[in-house]
Amino acid sequence: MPKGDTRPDPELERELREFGRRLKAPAAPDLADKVRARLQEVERSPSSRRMRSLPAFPARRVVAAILVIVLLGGLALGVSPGARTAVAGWLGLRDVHITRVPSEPTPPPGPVGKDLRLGQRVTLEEARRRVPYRVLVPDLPALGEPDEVYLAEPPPAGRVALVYRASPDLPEAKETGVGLLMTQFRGDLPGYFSKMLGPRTRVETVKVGGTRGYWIEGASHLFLYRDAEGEVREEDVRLAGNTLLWERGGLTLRMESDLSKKEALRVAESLR
Amino acid sequence: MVRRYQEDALRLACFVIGDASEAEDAVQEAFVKGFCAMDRFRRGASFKPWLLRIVANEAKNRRRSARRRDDLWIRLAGAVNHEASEPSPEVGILAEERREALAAALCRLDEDDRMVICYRYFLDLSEKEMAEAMGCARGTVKSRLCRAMGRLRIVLVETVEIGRPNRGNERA
Repeated sequence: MPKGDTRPDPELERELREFGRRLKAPAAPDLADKVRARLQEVERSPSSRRMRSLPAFPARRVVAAILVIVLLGGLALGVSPGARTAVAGWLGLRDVHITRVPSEPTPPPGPVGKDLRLGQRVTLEEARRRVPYRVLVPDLPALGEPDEVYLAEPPPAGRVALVYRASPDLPEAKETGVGLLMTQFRGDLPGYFSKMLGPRTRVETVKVGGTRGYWIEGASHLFLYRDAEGEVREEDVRLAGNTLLWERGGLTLRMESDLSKKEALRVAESLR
Repeated sequence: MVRRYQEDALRLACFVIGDASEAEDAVQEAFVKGFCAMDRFRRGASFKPWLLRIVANEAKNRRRSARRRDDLWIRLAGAVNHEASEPSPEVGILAEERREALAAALCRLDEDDRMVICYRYFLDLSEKEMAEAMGCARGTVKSRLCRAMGRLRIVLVETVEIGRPNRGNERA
């Protein structure tokens, strides 16, 4: 991303300061106790003196005893537990209303796509019935049929997600159990989308069976697209692997995986 | 000690990570590490920037590895209208839109930019304190801040562009 205008901007500075005043820290009355408790743990086990940090993303299941849903100026909250906790924390209600269930040491059995917020789990046939476009599916013997299919709406006309579990041939992306995730929906890419990808992302234009696509490496921060009604929407990057992005027949397709560019293109070009 | 610095530490972590519960974990771990590393703390140096540096590193690591990044905490700050006393309803709405745009733009910054903006404008650290908290020279602080602001401005303009209605002209 370019540096941009670096002249001083007192107006923006003033706005930032004011914005900062609104950022009240969440109430954490027992933080000192928690720290003390952790320190005692550390002292008891001399082997942990090096203070290795906690696992990168401790899975946390939060069960809300009382669901706090706040609609703020049209900003609808997602239904993820993490979002609920954040709201409750911000409102200072956390310790009162939210019970925490400690994380399980092994991933629970069940669909690997469950926590990726892909929508409702359906069969491929049902997805085909419910969307107004022809669902494209990779046709590679090595890949086989998708393991899980999800349907989400919004965006208008529905977004179909195909999930392929990791296997010896399909490297697992980031401990999710997922090897390949492909989503498709009606929409196109606004011209500025590549600018929003963040400083540590590398984008390369590629050809996917004659149409232009993008090969994106590195963790993208943001993915924007324009849906069938012209509304700009934001979509998560879920696997933090590599992404192949292309358009075909009015659909935007997005494939996240740990495959190499060549392998990903093979999959993409096998769609029918 | 925890109580004295926890407010700033939590604000820093929340802003960098964008999530309040992750931020609490980050601050907790950071304080523990701080205590453990206390013997490495040079007497005479000021304590707050040193501690914030540990918090910032913890927060940045978590942001990088977090799967979900909805940045809800920042977006809520932009969306909520705390002040009952805006000069007029129109001004109130404009101010709120502006805050939302600013919040959306801040969400698009990476963790390093967020950190430096938080230090300067939210935690009000002096340049010297920032240099200590970032472990670099004061000149570097200036240039990093400058560049972060530059990027923020780009993203702000683009955010405002996205928000502008453009129906009717472009149909997918």
